[in-house]
Amino acid sequence: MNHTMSMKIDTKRCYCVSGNVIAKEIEGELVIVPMIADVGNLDAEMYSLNSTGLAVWKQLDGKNDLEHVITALSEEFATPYDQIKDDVVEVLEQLLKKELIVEA
Amino acid sequence: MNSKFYRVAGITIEVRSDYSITENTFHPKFKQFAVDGPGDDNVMINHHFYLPDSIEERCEHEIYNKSQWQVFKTDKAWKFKYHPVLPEDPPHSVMGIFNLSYTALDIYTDEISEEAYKNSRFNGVTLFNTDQILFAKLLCDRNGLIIHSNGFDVNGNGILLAGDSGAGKSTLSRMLKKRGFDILCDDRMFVRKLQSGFGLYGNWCHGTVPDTSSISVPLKAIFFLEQSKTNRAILMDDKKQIARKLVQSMVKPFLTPEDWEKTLTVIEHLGRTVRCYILKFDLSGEICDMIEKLFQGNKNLFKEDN
Repeated sequence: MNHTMSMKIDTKRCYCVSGNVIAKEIEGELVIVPMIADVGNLDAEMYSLNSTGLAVWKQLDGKNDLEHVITALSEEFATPYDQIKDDVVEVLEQLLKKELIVEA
Repeated sequence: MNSKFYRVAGITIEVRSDYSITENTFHPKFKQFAVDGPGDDNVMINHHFYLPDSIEERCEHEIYNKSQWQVFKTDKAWKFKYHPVLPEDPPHSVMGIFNLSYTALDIYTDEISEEAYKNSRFNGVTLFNTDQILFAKLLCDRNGLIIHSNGFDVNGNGILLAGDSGAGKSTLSRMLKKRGFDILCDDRMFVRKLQSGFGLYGNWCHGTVPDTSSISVPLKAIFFLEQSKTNRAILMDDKKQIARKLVQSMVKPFLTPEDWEKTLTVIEHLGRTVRCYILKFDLSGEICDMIEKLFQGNKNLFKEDN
């Protein structure tokens, strides 16, 4: 697993879901459970992402850079790129900080 | 007697021991769970009063080490090493080796004498400080989970009282007990998905208040508590909010990704199947009337908040 020391998001990089989480969509929200050594980490918080965060999460396949992800979300939400970019970067910074995603 | 059977949530636990099991080996609360023999769904626990050979070599791949617990896993077994830390912890170290389905357990300790075993009034069959670790997995494999809540039988209808610390679970529980309703358990309720609906099960894994019961009832309502100056029950229809609150209320189990997937699926079904309410109440006790009347068909008392 790559461990990204800096929490700064680079839109030219690709990001993907960490191998140390399990995530399940429940009623349109994403419940994320951190794992440690392939079991639920009792000391870690569980997280949930709302529908917007879920849309971002689903795009993080590790193959497309973040600019591509933002473009796709901009089309999905019919929102201008520049308007949605800051929100997406903020979500990713939080996810990266909690080690729920990694640089691919 | 070297074996005893106890049944909880439809699961029969057979405890076998190298020592004799007396009426004082386990806490008196276990009497209400005692049965004569195996049932349809059985778990075997063996108590041994020595440590197995080469235990360190058999303990591979440590995956948790904190406070009272060290946990190891191999491809065939889980190993739980428990040692007391808090003043209220049982004062003996214990090693448990569980098969992967937790249906066959060997519990080892060389810190309990035969005389002590006969009179210890243990609070759990695993001899750990709690049997929660055992039941979290057993329930997961049976479409169930443990919810941090108090449970009551209101005229044959199971209700859960859930909420953050300080939300009023203990306060409302005292009111309901005073009203004459049976409490199923303090703080830890077992819930299982059945063919029709969900079952609510009393158990012996209580919190600080030693209320336990072997009663099981259909689960009919979940109340998320908020202390208030008025008495209102607001039917929740936001499925996302319900799911969020249920996830927050679950006792987080020590499970594999596959087990977590199963548990979260149960939570999803629970939120879709059982009516959930925000319950606001004052200290007058009036809320108990409202809860009772809910099951008498007076649903007008429980409307969406405007």
